[in-house]
Amino acid sequence: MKARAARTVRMARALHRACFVFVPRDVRRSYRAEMIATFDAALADAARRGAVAVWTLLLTEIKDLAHSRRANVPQSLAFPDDHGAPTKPAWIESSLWVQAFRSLRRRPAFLVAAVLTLAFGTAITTTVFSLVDTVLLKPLPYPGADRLVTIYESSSAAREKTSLVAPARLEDWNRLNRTFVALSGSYTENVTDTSGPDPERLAGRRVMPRFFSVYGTAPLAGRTFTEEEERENGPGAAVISEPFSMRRFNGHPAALGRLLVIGGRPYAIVGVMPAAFTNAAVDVWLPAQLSSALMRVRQARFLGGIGRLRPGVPIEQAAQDLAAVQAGLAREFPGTDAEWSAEIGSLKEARVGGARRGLAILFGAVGLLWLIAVANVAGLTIVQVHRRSRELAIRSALGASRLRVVATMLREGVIVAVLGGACGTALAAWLVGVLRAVLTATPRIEELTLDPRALAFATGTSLLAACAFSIVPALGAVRARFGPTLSAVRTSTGGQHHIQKSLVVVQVALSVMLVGSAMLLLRSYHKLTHVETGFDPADVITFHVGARWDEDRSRIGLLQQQLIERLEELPHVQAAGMANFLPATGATLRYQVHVEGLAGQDADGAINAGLRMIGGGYLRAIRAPLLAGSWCPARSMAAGAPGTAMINQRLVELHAPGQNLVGRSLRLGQIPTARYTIAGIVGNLIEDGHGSPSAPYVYTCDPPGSWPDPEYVVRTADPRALAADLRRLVRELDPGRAVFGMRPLQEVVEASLDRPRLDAVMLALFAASAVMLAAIGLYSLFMLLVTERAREMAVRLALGAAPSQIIGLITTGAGRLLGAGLLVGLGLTLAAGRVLSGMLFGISAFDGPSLAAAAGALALAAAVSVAAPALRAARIAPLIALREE
Amino acid sequence: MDDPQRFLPLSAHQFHILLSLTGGERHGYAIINEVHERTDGAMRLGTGTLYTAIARLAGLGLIADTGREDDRRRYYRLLPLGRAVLKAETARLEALVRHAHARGIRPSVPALPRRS
Repeated sequence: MKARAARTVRMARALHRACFVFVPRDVRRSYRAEMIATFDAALADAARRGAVAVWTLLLTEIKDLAHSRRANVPQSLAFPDDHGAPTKPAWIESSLWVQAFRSLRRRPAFLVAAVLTLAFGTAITTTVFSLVDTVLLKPLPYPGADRLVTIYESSSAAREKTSLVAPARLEDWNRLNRTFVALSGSYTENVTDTSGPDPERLAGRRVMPRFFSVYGTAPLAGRTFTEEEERENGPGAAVISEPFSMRRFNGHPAALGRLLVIGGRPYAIVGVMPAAFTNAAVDVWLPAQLSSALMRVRQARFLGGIGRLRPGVPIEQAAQDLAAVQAGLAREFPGTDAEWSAEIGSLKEARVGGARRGLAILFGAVGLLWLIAVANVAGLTIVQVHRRSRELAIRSALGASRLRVVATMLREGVIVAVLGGACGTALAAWLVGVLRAVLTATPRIEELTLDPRALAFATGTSLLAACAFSIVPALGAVRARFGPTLSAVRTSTGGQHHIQKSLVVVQVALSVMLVGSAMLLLRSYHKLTHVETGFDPADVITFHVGARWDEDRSRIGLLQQQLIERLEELPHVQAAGMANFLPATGATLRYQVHVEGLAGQDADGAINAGLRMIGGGYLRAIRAPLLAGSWCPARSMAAGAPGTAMINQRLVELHAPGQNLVGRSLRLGQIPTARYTIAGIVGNLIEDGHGSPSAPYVYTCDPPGSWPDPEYVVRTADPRALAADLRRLVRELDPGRAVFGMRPLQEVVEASLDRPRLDAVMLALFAASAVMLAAIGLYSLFMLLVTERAREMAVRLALGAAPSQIIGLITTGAGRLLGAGLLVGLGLTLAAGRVLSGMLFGISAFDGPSLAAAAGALALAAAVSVAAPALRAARIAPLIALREE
Repeated sequence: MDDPQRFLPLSAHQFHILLSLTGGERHGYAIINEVHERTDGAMRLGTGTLYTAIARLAGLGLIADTGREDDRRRYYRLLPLGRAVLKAETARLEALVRHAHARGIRPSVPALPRRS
């Protein structure tokens, strides 16, 4: 016991000394030893009275040291001309602000809470508004961007309603319309440049004539394509992107005139486009230079169309115009054009439409947060005015005009708002940087900057709120000077409790809703990460080898076959193969499949199934389970062999339960000539992503070269050795090709979880902020109640009530508000769950654990924030509290 | 001679420290205890506040170190200027109270410094 007391004393001395940093340096230098001696004497006295006295002394001392700098500031009234001092010079007017600041500094808890609340609110509101504005609201970075539209073809008869555009039709539309300035189009073609020491794969786009003029963006340097360069067999010319020019040529001036070698053909760089020109990572634009033969094939649809409307032409009118043009074409080419029409949409909608829902939810959450923040500042300010009501009344009683008292409060409000705004701006600037680094998948994120209007709005409203909430109660307090005694002030503003209590209930409710929603998304994300993938992505590496669609298929086929054979010969490789698309990457071809002897769900007996084109040991490399039959025979790799295919278990379950489909034949509806024999049945893979139910899938084992640029997959025990071996093999087999995009399959598959994870984390951050703000709200309300009811509590204590009863009184009150807030909040959460239900996986919107967690989090926050006021109430010294009245 | 008015107003802490020294020489802890008793526990000076105030008061020539020292603690005494300032401050406060009374402001309790 004695040892413990000695330890406490030693610790108290150490803490006391540590707090000397708060003392002005000159004082510290001259009085250090004496301060220690005096404290030791006080400590010795306190130690005789017991541990509580030691702690009390230590706390008072720490608080005192922290405030010692202002010990020399007169604590008299803050109005220079009220206390009879000699007239102050004119500059004193400006020092009223200094005085207001000092007054605030005397109440650090309030100052910190209010500034933090506003800073938080300002930062989050501004950042999210900037995000929403950049992605959804701001026009795209092209001149007259609202006149840019995407153009597709559409056919009610086709399975996929919307289709890319055939170049022949695009040229017809461009020639015959009356509502467009021009139409153009482009298609993706990733190319390999062999001008450097190593082949480099570039993200490329082939563009039709007028492409750059439709967008209207001027090149950063050089020019765009000439008419001659756009023509079939014209000279090779390339326009490159600013990032590529930086990466490759260290800037655009040096890039102009340099040569790229693509497919063995030289392309001179004639222009550089600014980075903002494209949202995709495009390195190089090349003229399409389509052959006149291809321009006559009206069913070859591969262009993404783009058009610029004439000024003042609404989209609907342009659609009617193109419909009329197409009707004319249908009469001219009934065989190919009859069933097709043009589909026009805003370019902006096409680029950012997908992000709309997530951002709208984000915006809603942030709006709530801002409301909570403002409500809290209101609560904090009202508490302050209450606690100072006596001081205010004295001031006005001593002759300070009402205007002057209100002006004082106003000054303090302005200081709080300005400090909050400044901290919030800094925080927002930092957050914007973080978002740009984190949200790489969001369209237009590279344009994100802090929006000055949003910042002005947030700081403006916080300024207004802080001022309004200082003035209104201050007016009430000043009016009270006409009351009989100063102590009457205490009850003069009691009516605001209802407002305050409702504010707290609303805050609790909104926080419950945000926490509940965040929990739903987090739990849903957790479930997604635990979905059975159906295969084993660990130790599998995927990569690409550069190849073009228009090159000789037999050459690329030979490469694919030899590469896979040579890879499988490596000692550290267990299996190698390829597929046109990897699981859970969002890419799929869908076909109408006819299986011999099966009546499908369609009128014409077809089964709607996803299709993967695979080759080599793809399914073995990813360890998909073989349930029946056998893998595709190796000879199906050879061109001309009879086609074989695998089907997944889901297809059997849905359309042929209990039947043995192995050995039956299968054909694809759209390609009547493509016939396959079913070799085996594999387990269900998460082809359509983690959250999608498994669908019927067909894996066609196609001869090499069928898909020129497939995803190669290799199961290896040694990824590092694979990288070196792979480059060596490709160099030996076909030296002009680049190996690129080497990634673990695990990473590729998990990338599809980025979006739900991001949504969950963002909402969780909001929820955490909301809980923090709600805690501040509860704290300020109960501080107010305790301060106001100090006399009542003092009387109770004086009449023999135990401190625990006083604490009980406070906690009961808090419990009631919390209960009301929780009830409303849980209702709101259920409503929000409905909105979120589209984003949920594996749990319902009525998810017990999520609701319980939300309620628990709020209860905990409430307990923490009410603890301080309750303890304060229990510590009220009856005599002093009563005398103050 | 310095004009005592120049030092006004005093902070409550300074006022009480000067007041304690009117009873003779005191060391820091004695001042703390005396102020504590005089104000019925309403003002508990801490070492930080006390020595910051002492440094300022000594710097302004209102009090002085007596040179006497026991157990590492120095004793302080009130200088004539300090006494004059104390008087001037008392007069200022009296004037204030008179103004307040003239307006009918009579609080039911003596205006002791409040606990913050």
